Amino acid sequence: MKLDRINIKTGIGIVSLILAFIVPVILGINQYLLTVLIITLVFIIYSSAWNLLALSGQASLGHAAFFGIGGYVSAIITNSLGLPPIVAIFVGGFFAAFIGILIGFTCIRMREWFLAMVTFGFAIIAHTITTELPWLTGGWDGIPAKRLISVTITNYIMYEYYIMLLIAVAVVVIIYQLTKSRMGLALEAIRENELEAKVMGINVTKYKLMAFAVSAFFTGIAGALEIHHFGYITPEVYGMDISFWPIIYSISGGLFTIGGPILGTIVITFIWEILRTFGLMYERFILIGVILILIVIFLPRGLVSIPEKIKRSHP
Amino acid sequence: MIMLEIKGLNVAYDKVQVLWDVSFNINEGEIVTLLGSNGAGKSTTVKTIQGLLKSRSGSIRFMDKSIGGLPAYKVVAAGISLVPEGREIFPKMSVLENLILGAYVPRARAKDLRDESLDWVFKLFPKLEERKKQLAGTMSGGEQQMLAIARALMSKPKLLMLDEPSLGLAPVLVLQVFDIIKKLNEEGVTILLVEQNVHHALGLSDRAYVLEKGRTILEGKGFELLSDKYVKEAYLGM
Repeated sequence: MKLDRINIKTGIGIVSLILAFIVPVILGINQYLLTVLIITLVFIIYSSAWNLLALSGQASLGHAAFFGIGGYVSAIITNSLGLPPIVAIFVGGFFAAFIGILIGFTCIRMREWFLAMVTFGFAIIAHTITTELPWLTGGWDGIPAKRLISVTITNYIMYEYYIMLLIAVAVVVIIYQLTKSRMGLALEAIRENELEAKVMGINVTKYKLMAFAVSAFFTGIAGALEIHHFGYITPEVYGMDISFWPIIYSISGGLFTIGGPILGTIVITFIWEILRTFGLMYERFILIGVILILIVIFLPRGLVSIPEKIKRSHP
Repeated sequence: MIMLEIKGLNVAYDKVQVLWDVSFNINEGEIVTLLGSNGAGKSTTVKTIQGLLKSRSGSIRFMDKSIGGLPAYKVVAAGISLVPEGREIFPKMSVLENLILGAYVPRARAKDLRDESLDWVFKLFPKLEERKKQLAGTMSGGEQQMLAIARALMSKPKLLMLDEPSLGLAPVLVLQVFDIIKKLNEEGVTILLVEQNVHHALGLSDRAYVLEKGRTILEGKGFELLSDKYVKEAYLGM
C-alpha cells in the first residue's frame, strides 16, 4: 500500500513537471500567464527553503530579510560590477546564507515564539538599514536591476520562464536529497526532541546553523530571481507579506513535506490570481484568510494529505 | 581498571548550586548505582557527564581522557550513552527510525555495523522487531522504555547510563528492565544506574554511592548498603 502511494505521488510530480515544460508550447507566449508562472516558481523556491528551516523546528517570521538581502546584493553587484544576473543571483544567495548563519547563532538557544520574534525583528532591521543607506540601495526609491533576459530579445519571457523552471527544479531536488540524507534525519530528530537528539550524538548546533544557511541561501536566490524579473528593487521586498507568504503556502500545502510548499504555492497563487480577474482586489485577502482557516481545520496536514484522506474514507 | 573518574564536581543552575564536590568512580565491567531522594542531584550528575550541562569545576575522565566540558555529541562519540529519565523517544518516528538515530555517531553508523547492532538489540528486545514499523509514540510505556534502552545501545556504548529506567513501570516490567540491565552487563557493558527503586538496584549493583543534597555521603558494595542502617532508614523505610 505504501508503495502505490509513493507511485501516485511520483506520477503526479512527473506529469506536472512535463506540463510545466510544455505550457508555453501549448498556450503560446502569453505574457500575463508566464509572469504569473514565473512568480509562482520564485515562491516555490522560497517556500521550499522556508519549509527546510521549519523542518529543523525553527520557524522564521522574517524570511523576507533573506529574500531582500539576496535581491539587493544581486542588484548592486550586477549594477556596479557588471556581472550577469544569472551569476549574481548566487552571490546574493551566498550573502544571504552568511547573514543566515549570523542570525542562526543568535537563535541557537531559542525556541518557538522567541525564535520567531527574533527573526521578525531581524526583517525590520534589514528594512531599516536598507532605507538608511541611500547611496548604496537607493533608499525608499530602490534601484534598477538588470533583467535576467534582456527585454530586447524576442520571447524573452519564455526564456526567463525556462531558466526559473530549471532553477526551481534543481532547488527542489537538492532540498529533497537533503531531507533524505543524514542531515534530514538529524533535523527531524532535533525538531521532535532536541534533548534526545543531543543524547543520540547529533551536533545540534551545527545542524541548526546548516539549516539556517541552506534555507537563507535558496531564499536569497529566490529574492534575486524575483527582482531580476521585475527589473527593479525597493525596500518593499522586506514587507511583512513577503515574510508570511511562504508560511501560508507551506502550511496550506503541507508542512515538512517536499510537495507541500510546491502545491500550496501553486494552488493559493492561482486562487489569488483568479480572484483578481473577478475584480476582487481587497476582498481576496478575506477569501484567502477563510480558505486558510478551512485548510487548517479540515486538512491539518495540508493539501498533500487529500489523497490519503480520500483513500481512508473510501477504502 | 577505572573507566570513569569524577573528581570534585561542582554544578549550578545559574546561582543555585546543586552538586557540591561530587566524586566517584566506575570500574570497567561494573554496575554502579547512584542513590538519592528527589532533588539530590542524581540526574544532574549524569547529564553533566553526558555533556548536557556544564560544570563549574571538577574533572570528568573517561578511559584516561578528560571529557569535562565536551559537547554531548563528542561524549557519545567517546562511548558514553544516556537513557534519559521519562522515556524520551521520538514519538512521531517509527521504531526503526528511532534505532537508526541511535547509531548516529561515526563509530556506529556504517551500514554493516548498524545492522549488527540492530540484530543485537532485536535479540535483546524481540518485541521491538515485531513493531519496527510502528510509530514509537503509539507503543505502551514499557515498550517505549525498552526502545529508549535499545536506542542507547545502538551507539555501541562502553558505558551506559540509565536515569530511573523503572520509573512509572508496572512491577513485572520493572523486573524485566533489571533483567536486561544484568544481561547487558554480562555482555560487557559497564553500567551507571540512577534509581529510586533501592531494593532492586542495590541487589543488582556491584557498588553504590548515596547522594544527598548534592553531596556524595556514602559509598559501599551493593549488598552492604542494603543492610546499612542509614540506607535502611532513609530509603527502605525500616
